[in-house]
Amino acid sequence: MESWGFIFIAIAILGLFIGWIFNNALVGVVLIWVGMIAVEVLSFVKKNRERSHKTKNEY
Amino acid sequence: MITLILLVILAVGFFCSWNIGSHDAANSMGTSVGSRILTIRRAVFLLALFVVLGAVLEGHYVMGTLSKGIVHFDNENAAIVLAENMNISTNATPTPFTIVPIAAVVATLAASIWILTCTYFGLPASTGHSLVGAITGAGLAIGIFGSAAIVTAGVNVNASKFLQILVSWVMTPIGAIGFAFLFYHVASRTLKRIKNILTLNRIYSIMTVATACYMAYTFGANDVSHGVGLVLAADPALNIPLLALFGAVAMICGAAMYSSRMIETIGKKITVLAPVTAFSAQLGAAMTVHLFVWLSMPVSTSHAVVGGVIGVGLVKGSLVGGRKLGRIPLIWVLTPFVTMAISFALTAIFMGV
Repeated sequence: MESWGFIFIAIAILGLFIGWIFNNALVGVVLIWVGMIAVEVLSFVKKNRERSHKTKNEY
Repeated sequence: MITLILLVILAVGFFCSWNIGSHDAANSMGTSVGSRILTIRRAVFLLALFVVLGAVLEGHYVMGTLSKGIVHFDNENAAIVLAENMNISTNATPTPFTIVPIAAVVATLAASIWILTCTYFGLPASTGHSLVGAITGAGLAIGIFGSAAIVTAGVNVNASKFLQILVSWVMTPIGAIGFAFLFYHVASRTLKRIKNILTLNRIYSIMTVATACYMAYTFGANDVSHGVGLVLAADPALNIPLLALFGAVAMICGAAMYSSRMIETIGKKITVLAPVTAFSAQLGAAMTVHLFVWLSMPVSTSHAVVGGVIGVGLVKGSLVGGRKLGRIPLIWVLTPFVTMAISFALTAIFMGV
């Protein structure tokens, strides 16, 4: 399994755990959505930054 | 209170949901990955978002049918007295699986064993069909071999509900064929008017991803109950949305850990279809499953997808993979009866017959 798989699983289990603590599944769902979207946005930003660094070095 | 047997049932339910997530995720995301619109990572990401949403918002429909619709007590008052005598919480009406929780473990395991066997031999069995058969088998065993007190409460396999479910199984591929046929007609005629190839490609991409997300949503709403439906039967007082979230998380774990190869394989098979074909088949399947979720019927997403592909094939005047389809209906018919027999025998053994 790749690293993103571990991250998604960790976020899902964390969402379930917090939903269980609050006794509200929707809290868990919102956390899973926010967590996963945040990870995807961060990875997108990181990739773009790396790409722009590469382009600058080529120049 | 969480008891040891409930923990065991939760563990078995997690395993079953994990299995469902790893094997059936490809039904939703295969097309998008195969046509290179999405990477596997992005596909699993979208799947996770929509499975969890479908499970929590609409998972309760089918969960109700599986937990107390098929096997129940005729005499609820006698069942409550029986549960009180056994020091079982009666916050909610007990089901036969509440009184004999080992039957819930056995039924879920019987369904999982059959699914794993079929997967090993490359046969397309459905988790929903397996579980309904297993629940019925376990219910029959409880009714026949249960103690005098259980028999007095009247364990009953609801024949009319079972018949309704059988009809919904037959109607699933037929409905998907009809919807896919309709969508293909509408989509191909509408999209023919667009001449710019770049615009057309973008529209195809958006439509494919949107229908994949919808399919993932209905997958969550329908299939979450196949994994954890019997957990609710064993403890009807559990919080249903939280239980659905538990099942959905198990499905996400399965999809993230094991679905990559399956998604790639299915994706390659499906991409031989044109984009509008794949989109129509997928949307037809998703709408059919969603309709049956609203009717609280546990159907198979895989069968709906097969129906969708056949429906589009009919528009084009060709039956897709006619020879391969030969074995599929046989497995569809056999599955509930095989799991019923396995579950009946195992429940009888565990009840000490």
